[in-house]
Amino acid sequence: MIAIGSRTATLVDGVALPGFAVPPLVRFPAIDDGAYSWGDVADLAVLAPLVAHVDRDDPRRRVVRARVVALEPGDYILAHHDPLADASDADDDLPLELVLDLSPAASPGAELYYRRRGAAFFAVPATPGTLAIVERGPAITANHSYLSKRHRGARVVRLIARLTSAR
Amino acid sequence: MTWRVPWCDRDEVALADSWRRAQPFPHVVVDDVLADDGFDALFEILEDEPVERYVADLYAFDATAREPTTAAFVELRAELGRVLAPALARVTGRHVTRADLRAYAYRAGDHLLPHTDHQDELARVLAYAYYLPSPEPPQGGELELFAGYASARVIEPRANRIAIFEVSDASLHQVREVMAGTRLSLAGWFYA
Repeated sequence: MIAIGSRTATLVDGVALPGFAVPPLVRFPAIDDGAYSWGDVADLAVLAPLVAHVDRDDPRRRVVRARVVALEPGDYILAHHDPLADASDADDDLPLELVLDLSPAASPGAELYYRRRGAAFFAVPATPGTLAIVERGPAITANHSYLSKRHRGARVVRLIARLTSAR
Repeated sequence: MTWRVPWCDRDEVALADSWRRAQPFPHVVVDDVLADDGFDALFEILEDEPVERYVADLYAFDATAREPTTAAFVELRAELGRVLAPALARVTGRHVTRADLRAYAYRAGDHLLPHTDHQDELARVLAYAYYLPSPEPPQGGELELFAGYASARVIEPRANRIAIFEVSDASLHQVREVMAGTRLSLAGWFYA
């Protein structure tokens, strides 16, 4: 599926990442940006099975950064906040983002929305095993929807990796 | 429908003192805003105003448009400014002249996440929320004020109550998720 607003925006169902262990998570403090827990993935090589899903003609296959984010009921990540942002991003032209849902169960209404200049163009469901492959860029933001407190016990866990061309 | 200043001159001094002392940032909460016979006329005006669904990363609620469509709602907004702005200027020490006004319905699951209302290009001085009686009073939907990122004050959305607070970069606040029922309110800003 190609979504309007990005040259690449694709969903792949039923993706597994055997042997991947969620890193220790810490709480993000700035509630006007988001309320969530996060942890960096130290060994980026373990993500090779995910990179294999990228179009073979796409040169962006080098994982430069990966992080796990986890949302409990009441949590969210707003669109103006990029949980993977890094000062070195200024050098990335149009990076590719991979998002693998590692949640224990589906959470309807807890979608991840990609937006172009604020308008949502691509929704990623909170469904375990769903892999999203999306091109980022200066005009593309993303928000992780508020996870309702009415869904007691719900937990959304996403592995987010950013890929660029090998240099 | 006629707004009234919901406090007398004698209360105004105490209210101004309360405003200045309030933590985490200047605010006041006043109950019994309208007389009991004021609601019928108010709801008559609200029933004629179209309501739409608004959903974004920050919020989910039903509301009237930014600009009212009926003459009665336009007048309701204008009179709110005429009646309350002078009194609020005395209480807060801030120069305000006019108000805007939208009606909101937060249903189960609706929310407004932490944010400040300050924008350089807008002359918002005071924010307010006036809570209406609801056929299904809300569980949740409280106005929560933060000191930095820490919760500092939780204000229940009690019917016929108005909460007013200063708009600044420091006035971080949210409307907690409504867990059940419907939270009805009129809200907006007073401007310089």
